[in-house]
Amino acid sequence: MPAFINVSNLTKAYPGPNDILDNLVFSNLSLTVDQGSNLALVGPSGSGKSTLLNLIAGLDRPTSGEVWVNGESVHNLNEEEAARFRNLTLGFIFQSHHLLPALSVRENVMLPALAGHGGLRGQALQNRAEELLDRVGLSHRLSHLPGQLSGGEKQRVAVARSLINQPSLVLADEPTGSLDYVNAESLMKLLLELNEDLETTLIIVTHAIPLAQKMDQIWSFSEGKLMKEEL
Amino acid sequence: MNIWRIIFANLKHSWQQHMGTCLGVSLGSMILVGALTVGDSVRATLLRISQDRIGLVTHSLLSEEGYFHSDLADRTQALLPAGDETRLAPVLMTQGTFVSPNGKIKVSRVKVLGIDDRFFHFAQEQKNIPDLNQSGFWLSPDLAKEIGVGHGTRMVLRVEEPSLFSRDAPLSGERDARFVSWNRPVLGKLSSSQLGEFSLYPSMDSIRTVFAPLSMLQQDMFISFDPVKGRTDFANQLLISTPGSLKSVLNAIEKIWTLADAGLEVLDLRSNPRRCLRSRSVFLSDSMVNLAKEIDPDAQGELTYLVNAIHKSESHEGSDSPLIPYSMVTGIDPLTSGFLDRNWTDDQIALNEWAAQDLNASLGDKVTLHYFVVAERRKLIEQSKSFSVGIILPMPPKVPPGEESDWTPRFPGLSGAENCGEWDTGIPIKHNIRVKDETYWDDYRGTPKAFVSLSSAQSMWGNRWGKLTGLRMNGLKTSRELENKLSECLLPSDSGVRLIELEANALAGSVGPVDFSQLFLAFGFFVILVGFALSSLLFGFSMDQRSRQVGMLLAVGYRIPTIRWIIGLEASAVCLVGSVLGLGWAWFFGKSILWMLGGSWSGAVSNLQIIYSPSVGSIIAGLGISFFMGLMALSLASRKLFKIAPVVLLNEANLAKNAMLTKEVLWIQWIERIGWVLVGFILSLSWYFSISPGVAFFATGTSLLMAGLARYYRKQYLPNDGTSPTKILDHLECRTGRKLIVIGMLSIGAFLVIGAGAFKQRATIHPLDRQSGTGGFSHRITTAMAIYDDLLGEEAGDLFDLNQDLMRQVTLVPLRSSVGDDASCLNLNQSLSPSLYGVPLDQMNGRFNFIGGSWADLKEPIGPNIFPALVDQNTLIWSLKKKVGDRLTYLNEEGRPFYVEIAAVVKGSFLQGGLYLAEQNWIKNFSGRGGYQHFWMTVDRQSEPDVLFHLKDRLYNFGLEIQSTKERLTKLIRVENTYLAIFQALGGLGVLLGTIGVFVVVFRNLYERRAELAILRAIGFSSKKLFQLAWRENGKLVTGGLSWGIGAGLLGILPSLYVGVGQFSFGFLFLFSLVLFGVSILFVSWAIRQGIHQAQFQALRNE
Repeated sequence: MPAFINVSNLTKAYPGPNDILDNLVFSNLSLTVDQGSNLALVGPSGSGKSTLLNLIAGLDRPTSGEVWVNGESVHNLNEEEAARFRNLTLGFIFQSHHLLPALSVRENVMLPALAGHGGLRGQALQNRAEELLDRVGLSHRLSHLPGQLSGGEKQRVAVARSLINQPSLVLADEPTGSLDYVNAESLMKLLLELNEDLETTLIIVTHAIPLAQKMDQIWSFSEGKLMKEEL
Repeated sequence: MNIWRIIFANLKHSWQQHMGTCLGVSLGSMILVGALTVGDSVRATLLRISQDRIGLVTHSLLSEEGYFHSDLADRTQALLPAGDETRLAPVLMTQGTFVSPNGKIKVSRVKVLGIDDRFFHFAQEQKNIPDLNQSGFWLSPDLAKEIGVGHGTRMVLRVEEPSLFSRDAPLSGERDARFVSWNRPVLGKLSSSQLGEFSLYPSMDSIRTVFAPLSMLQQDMFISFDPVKGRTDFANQLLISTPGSLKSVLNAIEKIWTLADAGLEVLDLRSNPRRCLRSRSVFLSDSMVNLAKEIDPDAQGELTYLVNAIHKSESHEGSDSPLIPYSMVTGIDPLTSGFLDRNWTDDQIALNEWAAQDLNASLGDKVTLHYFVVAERRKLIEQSKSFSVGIILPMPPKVPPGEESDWTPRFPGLSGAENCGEWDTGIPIKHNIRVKDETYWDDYRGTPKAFVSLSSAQSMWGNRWGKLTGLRMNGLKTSRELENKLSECLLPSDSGVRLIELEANALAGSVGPVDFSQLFLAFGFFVILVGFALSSLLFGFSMDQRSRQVGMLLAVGYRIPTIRWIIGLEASAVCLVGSVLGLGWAWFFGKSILWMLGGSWSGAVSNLQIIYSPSVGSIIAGLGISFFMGLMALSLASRKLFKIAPVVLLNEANLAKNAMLTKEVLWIQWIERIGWVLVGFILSLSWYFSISPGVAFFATGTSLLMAGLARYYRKQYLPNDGTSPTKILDHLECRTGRKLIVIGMLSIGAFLVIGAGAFKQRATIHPLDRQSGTGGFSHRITTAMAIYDDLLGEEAGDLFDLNQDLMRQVTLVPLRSSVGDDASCLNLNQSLSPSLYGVPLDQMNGRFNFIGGSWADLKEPIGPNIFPALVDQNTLIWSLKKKVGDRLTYLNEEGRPFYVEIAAVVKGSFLQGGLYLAEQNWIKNFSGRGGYQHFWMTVDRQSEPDVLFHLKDRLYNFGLEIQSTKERLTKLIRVENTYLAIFQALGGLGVLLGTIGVFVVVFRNLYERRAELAILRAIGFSSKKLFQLAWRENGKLVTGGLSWGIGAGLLGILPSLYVGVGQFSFGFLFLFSLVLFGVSILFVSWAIRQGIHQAQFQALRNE
């Protein structure tokens, strides 16, 4: 059975002052992830963890190499296909919650389903959003605006939002980065529960080794190389 | 939940940010809708004035030279089918003077309208119609206001007595002008709804009209007009109002048009079976002769003329040999005469027995005729021609009392005379009239004493009014039959009666040569630009703040078109609200503009009081345009978001400057270099060649602005050398695009305002400079009644008792003129048929500043019926909207078209308003029109007061008006200068609004960089130091923008300064720059203070 995610000889470099791609982040990086598994990407700042996550999500383009997700070459998708991929296959949790301040908690959760790629509609969508919010412990905050929530709560809404289209892959870029330890612990627990219950593949970028250690696998960046850590 | 919910939620959440954007859009909407509604108002006002001017009149039949019987209206009406709602009214229109008996009130030129009750059928208001059975005057509103006399006040109206034919023509009668005057009470005022402002042509001048009962005027004016029948019921205009087809009315008029209406008559001859066609105006026009010859090709022409003397050639004047004074001599065709030999030659003369005896002449003797011909300005030139006596004719029967010879038309001042002493033919009597001459007159009246061949007679006495005085016709039994036959072929247009489509012309004219909508759109264009630039900036800020939101939507799978749609709809809502908000401002703006046009800017609309009349169409159009322009501006502001990778947006990365690529740097450098090269090239070109100052200004200024803005843009991207600590802040996060917008706004605004100031004109202070706009003339003179003589000649000196010593100080150029529209910039109506003037070219050499052609180009006709004309550049471009080589169609006095081709153009002259032909070309088309009512005069300043006083005194009865050419030019230039002032004011407003942009950009920049500012403060920078650092960076916006703009403006006017065009005020520049710098510095300082304060506050709050 082929791997759910297959990262092959991936290289990413950014242009320097002279328009030459001489700021190398990593080169010839390869990685495979099975469906339903969960793993943590760790490493020092600037080592390329978030860059790899963005490349897997198709939010950034590699300098060379390929990323395959569920049999699709992410960077060979056209704009429409890429949008569909991000909407239906992926759920993305950012370090910052990125909630729309004008929309209520429930509406923020429903937002990805309105992108026009199919999926739930109407009451079913609302029920799903409320169900997810109930799952993340925010059923009492449905009509609140993001400005009325704490940092931990906002991140929980972001988690619920990432799951609204029942993605097979959830990518979380330092989801606990702006949270205190208690909230971080709680959020990680939630993510793992959801990973298990919903059978999604989960990749988390984090600095926090204790939290990373709760994952099935830990992959570590060091000097542009990605190494699997033994637990 | 759907997309709309997101949009409404965003609008609600960001309403404060959007409010600024809305205000920017509303600014654009204000100018757009405001300008369009100002245009509406001007058009509506002009239309209302036009409707007041013509009332319900749709057409007018006008005879500019002759008169027809006023019962033409009744006769036509009778021919129209029953139930036809056509209304007709005869009007007698002339000009005159209107003075109080004691001379305290004097209006030099008034229009005089003789009307009857039918005139008021064309009025909008039928109530309080004056009783025209009373003998008195009614005044137009303007005239009533001007003279301010009460009901019953007696005034004297004086008009010229109509002549049978042009007083320029030979034998036209007495030389003294004959006036008719009435001393009557003023009985009231006719309101505009009572047709008190009736006029054939639109004009912005006040309407001075005296209305009087038609019969009252007719009885006195035409007392000697029809000596045979004694009729006085003449008119020269027929007003028509027809709801249906004009064709049936014209058909009826043509059908009912008689010989008498055309001033023709058919006479039975006593001694000949033929009948003679004669004209009231003595000479039969060529067209009339041709028409008659179509009926009778064998018609026999005759030309009878008064000669001064007939004498035998071996004798001479002053000798004792017999000389016959003042005799009629007739030219006839020898072949059809019946009494001249078939071999008759042009140098033979037939004398009657009386003359032969008197001269003691026999066959073969040489006889000389002495006669006057009339040159221009009624100058009499005596000529003579010798003949040999070919036959001596027996005496015809004596002429019965009260009748005239079959050969002789009724000459004014001659035919009705009881005796020779009463003759008043307009020629000096220098020969003694003997007793036998009186006896001959008593017995034979004007019976010719001699006959010559017609060709010989025509070579001596043929003139522009005609070459025949009678046409003997055959073929019909009675004169009545002949009259009917001729009438059938005769059209009113053959007699110079032309149709004026008053209603259509009024509608077309009210559109105006200047579209005030476009004008104010152009003037306000910069403000519109600033409005949309500001809204774009503000919306851009809002989008910047929401870049993460866009990034997130992209990351969760929203397609770019969907996000564009969301933002687009949000922007649409903002634009819609902004545009609608602008409607309110537009009302205020429109009202303010009209208020200004009624006050300080009244020069632009010739003091027209404009009524605010916005149209729904303009409001919708303005709203629509501002909405789409706003949407475009906002789309530009948001488009960059979609060029940035979602991951960058999510991280709220630097959306401002990225390092410019080497290729881009090169491009920018090239643009800068090209700008500099163009500046040098245009300046050099304008030094060596004559380039229009306007073109040079815009070309030079735009090139410099291009170079300047490119330079600024490039400099912003130069890498920080890191050597100067004061430059640290410059390169922290520099929003080059938005800064460029602000600098662009300030520099373009300053450039335009300086340009508008630079091109303001001032009338030349040397009116006697022949090359200037005055052509070297100090005054222009107009008269209510024509003057026929050369005012500088001896005859006129005697006639008007002019002081010859004083008149020697004067140069006077008389102009022929035909009535038409005023095509100067003082007339807001579209000129459809500008006045035509005939100019004596020999007096014009070296005058005025030509930019195309010359006076010499006017001399020769360009083709059959195509005549070259001169026009002022402003009239050509703005009023006529024509170019050199274009043609205008006119009708000559016989109703036939001729063409006027623009062949020469003068610049900045007081000649605005009309077209100028060579006098001889003018006469070819209007030969029947005599005299001069326009003069250009040169008099030195020393003699000026005496000359003006003298002329006004001696020519009092002619309704003299004198205006200095400087005053006229100043009036014309005031229009242009007012336009420039409006442009300056709106441009200045734009620049001031641009400074708001400076405030916004500076404040925003500092707000976005609150983190950096907090760090600087944390490491020990004081507020003062931060202020200095921020000022150093942002001050460049003001100094850069304004310096480049003012520099470009100054450089742009350089070419016009060294060719001496325009009157640039350095005082204005200094003041303008000072105010602009002051306001801008104030805004920047305020923005920096606020920005630093807010930044610190926000940074602390975030912490």
